[in-house]
Amino acid sequence: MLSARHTAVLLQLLHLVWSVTDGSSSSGTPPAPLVPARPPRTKNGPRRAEQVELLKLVKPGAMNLSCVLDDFLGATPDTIRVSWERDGVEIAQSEVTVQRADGRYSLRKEFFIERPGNYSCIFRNDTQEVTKAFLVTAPAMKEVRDKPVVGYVRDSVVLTCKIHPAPPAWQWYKVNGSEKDAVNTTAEPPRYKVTDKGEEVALTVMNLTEEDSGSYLCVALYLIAPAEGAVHLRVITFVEPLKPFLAIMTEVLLLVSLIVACELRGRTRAAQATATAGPENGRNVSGGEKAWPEESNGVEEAATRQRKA
Amino acid sequence: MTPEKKRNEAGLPDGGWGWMIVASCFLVTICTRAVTRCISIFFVEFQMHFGHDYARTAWIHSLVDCNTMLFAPLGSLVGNKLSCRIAVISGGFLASAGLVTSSFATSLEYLYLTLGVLTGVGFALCYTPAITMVGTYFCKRKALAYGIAMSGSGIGTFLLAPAAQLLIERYSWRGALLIAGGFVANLCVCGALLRPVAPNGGLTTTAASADSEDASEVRQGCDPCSWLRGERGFLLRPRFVVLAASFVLLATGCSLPFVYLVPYALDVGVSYQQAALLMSILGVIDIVGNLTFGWLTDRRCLRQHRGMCYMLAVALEGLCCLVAPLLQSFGLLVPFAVLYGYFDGAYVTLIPVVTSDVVGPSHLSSALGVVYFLHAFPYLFSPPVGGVFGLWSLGFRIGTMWSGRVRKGSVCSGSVYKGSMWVAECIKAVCAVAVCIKAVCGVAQCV
Repeated sequence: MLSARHTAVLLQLLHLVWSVTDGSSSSGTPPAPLVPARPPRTKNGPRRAEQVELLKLVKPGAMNLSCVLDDFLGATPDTIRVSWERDGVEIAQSEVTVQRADGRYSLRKEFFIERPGNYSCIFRNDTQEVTKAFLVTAPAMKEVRDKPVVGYVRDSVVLTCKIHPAPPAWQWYKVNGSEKDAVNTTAEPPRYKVTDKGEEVALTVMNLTEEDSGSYLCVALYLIAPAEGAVHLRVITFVEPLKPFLAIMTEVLLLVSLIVACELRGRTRAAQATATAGPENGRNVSGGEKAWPEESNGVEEAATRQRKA
Repeated sequence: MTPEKKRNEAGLPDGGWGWMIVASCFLVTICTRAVTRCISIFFVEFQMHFGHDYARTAWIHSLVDCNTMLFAPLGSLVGNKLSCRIAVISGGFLASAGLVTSSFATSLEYLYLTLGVLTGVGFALCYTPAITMVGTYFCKRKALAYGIAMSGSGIGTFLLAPAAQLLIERYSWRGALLIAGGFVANLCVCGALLRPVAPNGGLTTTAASADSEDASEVRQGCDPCSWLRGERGFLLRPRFVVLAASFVLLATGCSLPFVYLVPYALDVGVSYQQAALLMSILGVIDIVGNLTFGWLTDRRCLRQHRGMCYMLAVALEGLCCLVAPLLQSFGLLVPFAVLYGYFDGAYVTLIPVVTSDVVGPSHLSSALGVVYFLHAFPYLFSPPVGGVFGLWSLGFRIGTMWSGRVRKGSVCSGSVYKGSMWVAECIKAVCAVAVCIKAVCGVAQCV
């Protein structure tokens, strides 16, 4: 999000810090300072950030930013200088002197904010600074799924994104390597369908193929800045869930056959036992249906064998 | 427990292979009741894919639940005529086929048919015969056996809810339904285990126990006229009529607190994590209630007073609902969840026990069919009322996916929840009175 100019400033500051800490002479002539004629802040001593406030905006507009400080690093001078910065660059002619009133220093300024950025007010005396920063951003996508959505070949799948508040428009992109292609909803035969429900948007991808796997970007086109969310799609064939299914069915068939076999074996053994025991049993014994014996000897033996089986 | 142990006076083993039957019934309860509850985890996926609203998607769950109970008499009929084993195996096959075909669904109506009807009927063919079989093997330890068997729904929901989530994440709902179909095929294994208890010299294909005075009715089962006279005779007994009426009222009331607890808690200012914790407590204590109450009412001192224990459990459940609208904080709702969960588990365990006490073991199969059939209509009509809030099952709530929907539900007026809680308590109080009358008339015991 840093512009080229800001990057240059940052690089120069880093270069300065590096040459100072290194102790060696700088490799070339120091570049002309791009910042205004104040001394560079790194020489003033540590800047202390007091607060950071997050602001969500959907469209450019005027905003009142107010900074309140109870005391300046423990001290309470009568007046204090305050200036404003946008994205690390001081806003020209923004410095004012604030009187201490009601036990605090307070300052309010109206800004016309056109794009996201970092607005901060800096309270400073000759040696130190205290800042309060306002981070202005577009809203963030809600409920982003980190796991991929799974779809099947020749089936359709629905990818959704949610954000609050409802943006003026949505746009879908498919990520191809390092580039993104806008999703074409008008091609024949229809493969993509976008359903815009305000705070929620759904992309239906029909007639899936394995090439449709990958990342899709849903972009909420707010006037201030677009908000992005990524949805991952994974397309698989029906063979994949079929494997565990067949494994379970095999297990079921095996167990059923095992149980039936054990029972048949127990039944034939009990039948043999009753045949050898003869009519002395007296009690009614029906084959091997009984798992547990009654008080008769022949069946007892068969049941013992059954138990061991 | 040695195999030489004598059978008790009623001729039932009270152990031995009976524990395998209990294990089989436990698995049947997991595969039917817990899977039914976990179907609601698929709702978001169905909603997204087919583009319908929540109320229409929720019909799937109420169809499955209702059909499982509605066709319970069919299950007990097949169990009586053929055998419980054949009933459960064919039910498992049907349910599995329903889930597998639903993985190819192209519309919500298709799902109504495959999931709602086919799977529901399959579950119905399994549920009643399996529960009946447990009753044929146990007498002294009947309540404990039923407690273990019925705890399957709570434990199953606990285990299957995260498993269903994982399957949906990996394979999407189609693959998850296919694998669920495979899992449900284990009902066939349960069916294979249901070895009938052979009464002395009687037919081995019925689920009846060796109750000598009803043995003749068992043998006449093939003749339609005597079947009507003999097996349906219990329907006209006053004790059974009162019991049946109390079950209808109970079924109408008992699902309401499960549906409304979380929105009610959110409405009185409990955070979402705490509300989910309340439901988890409810579920776990439900399982504890299943097991402990079953064991308790099997104790010799309490066995004679099983009817009173049942009445007590139901009355205390009703009492909890009575005071629920007065509970306005998390600290007060926790004891409510504990007590309500415990007595709900207790009552679920005792349904088959009390039914068998009232009608006798020989009619248990048909009576259970009728009892669960009476549960069907309340199950069908209370869901649409609760459908707006979208909270069916326990596992659904233990999962954390539904935070958005729950918050949406809680925005609706709190007076609806409070009103429904009062309705629930009135219903509970009425059926407690009904059961009291039944208890006063005297309860047949199996000592």
